[in-house]
Amino acid sequence: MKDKAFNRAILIWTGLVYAFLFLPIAVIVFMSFNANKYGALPYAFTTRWYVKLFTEDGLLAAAGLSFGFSLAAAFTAMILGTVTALGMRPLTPSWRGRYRRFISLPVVIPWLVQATSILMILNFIGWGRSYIGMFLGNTAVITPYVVMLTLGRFSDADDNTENAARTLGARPVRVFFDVTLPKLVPGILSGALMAFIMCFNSFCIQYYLAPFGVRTLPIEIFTLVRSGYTPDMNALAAVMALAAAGVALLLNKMGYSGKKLMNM
Amino acid sequence: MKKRLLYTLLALVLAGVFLAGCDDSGGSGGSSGSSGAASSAADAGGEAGSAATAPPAGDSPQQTLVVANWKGYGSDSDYGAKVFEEKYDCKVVHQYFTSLEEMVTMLKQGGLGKIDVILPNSQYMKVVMDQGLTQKVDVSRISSFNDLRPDLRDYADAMDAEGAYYAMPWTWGTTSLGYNPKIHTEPITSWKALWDQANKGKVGIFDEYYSAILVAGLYTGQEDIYNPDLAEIKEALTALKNNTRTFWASYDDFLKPYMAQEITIGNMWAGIASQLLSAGEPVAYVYPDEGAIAWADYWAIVKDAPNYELAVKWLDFMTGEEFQTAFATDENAHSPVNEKVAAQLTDDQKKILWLYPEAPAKIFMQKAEDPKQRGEWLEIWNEIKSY
Amino acid sequence: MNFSLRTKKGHCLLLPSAAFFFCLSLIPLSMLVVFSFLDGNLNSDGSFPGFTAANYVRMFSKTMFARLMGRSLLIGLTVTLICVALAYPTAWGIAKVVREKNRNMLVMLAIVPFFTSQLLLIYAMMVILQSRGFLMSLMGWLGAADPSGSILYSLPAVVVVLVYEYLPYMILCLYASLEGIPDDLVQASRAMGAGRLETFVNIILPLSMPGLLSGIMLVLIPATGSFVEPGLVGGSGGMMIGSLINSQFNTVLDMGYGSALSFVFLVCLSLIMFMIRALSVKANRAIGGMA
Repeated sequence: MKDKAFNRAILIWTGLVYAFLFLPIAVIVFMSFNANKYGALPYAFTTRWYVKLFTEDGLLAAAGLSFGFSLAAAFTAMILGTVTALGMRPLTPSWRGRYRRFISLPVVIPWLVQATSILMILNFIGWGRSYIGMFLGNTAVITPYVVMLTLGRFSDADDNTENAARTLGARPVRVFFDVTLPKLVPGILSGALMAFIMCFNSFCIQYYLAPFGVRTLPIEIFTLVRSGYTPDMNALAAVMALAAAGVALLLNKMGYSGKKLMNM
Repeated sequence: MKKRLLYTLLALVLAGVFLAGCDDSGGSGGSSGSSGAASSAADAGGEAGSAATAPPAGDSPQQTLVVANWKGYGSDSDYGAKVFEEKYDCKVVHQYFTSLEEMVTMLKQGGLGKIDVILPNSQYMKVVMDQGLTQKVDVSRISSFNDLRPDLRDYADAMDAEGAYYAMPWTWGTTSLGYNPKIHTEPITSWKALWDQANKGKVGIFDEYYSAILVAGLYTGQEDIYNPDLAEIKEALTALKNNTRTFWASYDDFLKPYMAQEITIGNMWAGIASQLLSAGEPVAYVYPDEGAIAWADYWAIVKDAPNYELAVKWLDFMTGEEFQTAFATDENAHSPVNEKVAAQLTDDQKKILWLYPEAPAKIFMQKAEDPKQRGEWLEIWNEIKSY
Repeated sequence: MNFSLRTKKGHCLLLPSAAFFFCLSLIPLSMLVVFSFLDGNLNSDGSFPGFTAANYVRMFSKTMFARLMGRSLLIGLTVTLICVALAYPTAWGIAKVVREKNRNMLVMLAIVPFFTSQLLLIYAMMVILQSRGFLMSLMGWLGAADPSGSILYSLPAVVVVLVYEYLPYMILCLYASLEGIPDDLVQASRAMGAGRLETFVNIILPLSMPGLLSGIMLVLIPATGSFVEPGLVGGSGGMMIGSLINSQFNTVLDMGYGSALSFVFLVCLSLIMFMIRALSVKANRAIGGMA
């Protein structure tokens, strides 16, 4: 009985925290339909910001660029991170700790410092602000997350299955793909997801490293805000948030029905 | 169990990456994956804006003029680049910066030889000139040359020792005192209002060391405002900071708290006052007795500009009557430098530009400073804000 | 054969990341140290001007740096504490209380805010916090405060905005750890008569420590180094160390001073992180000793 009350309290708490997380999104959606350019009241319903978003300005293009770029960086980070995590497995615990600290440097170094010092190097070797620089910089910042989350899967899984598979005569490659990799996939994927969202929002890194004239979404919005906030940004944010929430719900549904099928 | 969900996710990510790959190679030329210097600095100028705004260059024989400017600032409007493109059968590509410092680094890091024209202001004109980033303008081909405001056109920091012109003025404006007349019902005529204890917690100040020090200089009555007594300035700014609610850095930074009446008075750009007016907010924008601070923007031709001929035509077009009229009567109006255009403005149009009933009598230009002074002034400003 | 895959070839797998991070974090870091001794800026031809310790002298001769650093750390720690307090029950709720089929969805929903722009979310937060905004109207309705006042443009506003921004990281990290704790372990502890608090201290907390630590790291470091948020909502007394560093690189291009500031900032942060880690190890040992 007491447990039930406790659990209910936990659920209410969780609900409140999620409400806190989504309140600003609700505000953005609300404002995106407000005719007043400055978001001021009285409220007058309009869809013209959505029309503007899809017909006129560069926001959609910037969002597309950011999306593609973040996917590419997250994918690279995913591969590099997984390889690294695999490589760290055979190390002794103390060396593993040392190596983990080494690759976590980009997490510890504030992004501002990281971005400016990478820019210094890029200038030094003559590349300057460039796609390749922005790509490398962003990948460096997000790869540690993939490693951390993948390593987390290792430590709670033991080697018995792999050893069993080997004893039964499976070749190393087969062991890797049939036994090791599936166990890692959750860690790799959550790492990649984390990497993606961090890259998607890494204004600081992109602000310093993006080639001139190339505007990712964070940069584009920063530029727009400097010259005057326009509500079509709200419209874009609303569209993206709803799309993301939609994907979350859809995947959940797919996963659930898939599981039901498998259980049958 | 969870496998299916996870594999679906993995497949989605993979599909996305492939799509992104296509997008990269198709959209912006240098894909992020391609290595080496080929896709790096050298492309910076050429790829200007291709990611977002510019139509693909294609292989038309048209010339392409690369313009560096702020976003949404006249030159990329319908009456700007579009008209110019039709008139001279060329393409105009914009490259946006968000600060003038960024504009300078842009030139230094691969922009030379790619960018044709830039827009420094009265404060940065000397900086780009001294660093050899600009070149002389052939003024005989600027048709409105004699109509341009002489004080702005013959600005010493935009000319070399021999009197050759390195830039043409484009527009100018003031950073002066604005307030909400519904709350401050007595007319305000002095910068002293910002220091008034009665206004504590209602003041918004532009977060930029130079204008802040100039305002403090006017308030303390410095003899030479450009070489003030720094101890007095510090004292005045500390008092000002204690009255200040927020330091603003952009249009929106000012508009939002003003509309919510979190701030009711402050130094602001004339453009902010105009936006407030068009949004139906009560605002009074005044030129205090001590004087107002002013700036001007200049078009300059970059050294090694790939299209010098076209660049000169751009300067000619930008200062010409047709463009200046459209620019001055736009929704976001800007004061013209072409005196013929200025003379034709109606009182209502002048009102929007805050030139009616009277234009500012005493203005102090934001001038270039030497690097050492910049460091010193910035340090003062940072230190005052740090308390 | 199997043996070799796990050792020699295993080390080969580290080569790419070793090279990658050597170039992209170790070299930048050492360059930062070198630059911090620069006398001003690099010459335009890329050569070095003279070296000097003046940047450090300048930094420590005034109280500005210490003041800003202290304020930033205080804000960073407050934000981290609030995030832990908010996220722990939430992560527990997602991992253990809600139905299993909804877990993935809740995790995904927690990161939905990241798919919009963070800058826009800050603006939305400002709409909520501003005078006569959502929060103040609610407070006014409850009779707790005057709705025309507001907490915008103050340090608490910075804390609220930063908590909002970094809370999802903390939830994700804690969830990943809590989810791995076997249910039977908790049940066994409870069955053996341990109270809820005891179970938490002896079992749940130690097992979730890795997630908690990475969560702290992910929140504390960026929150302490932030400069956009204090500029937007911090008001006249809200300047943080990030703003000072940023102005050196962006407004005056004083690489030497900027690098020196960055480096000392980094050292301070690392010290704090080290202390937190040491504390957690000690706490874990103490618990182990008790049990």
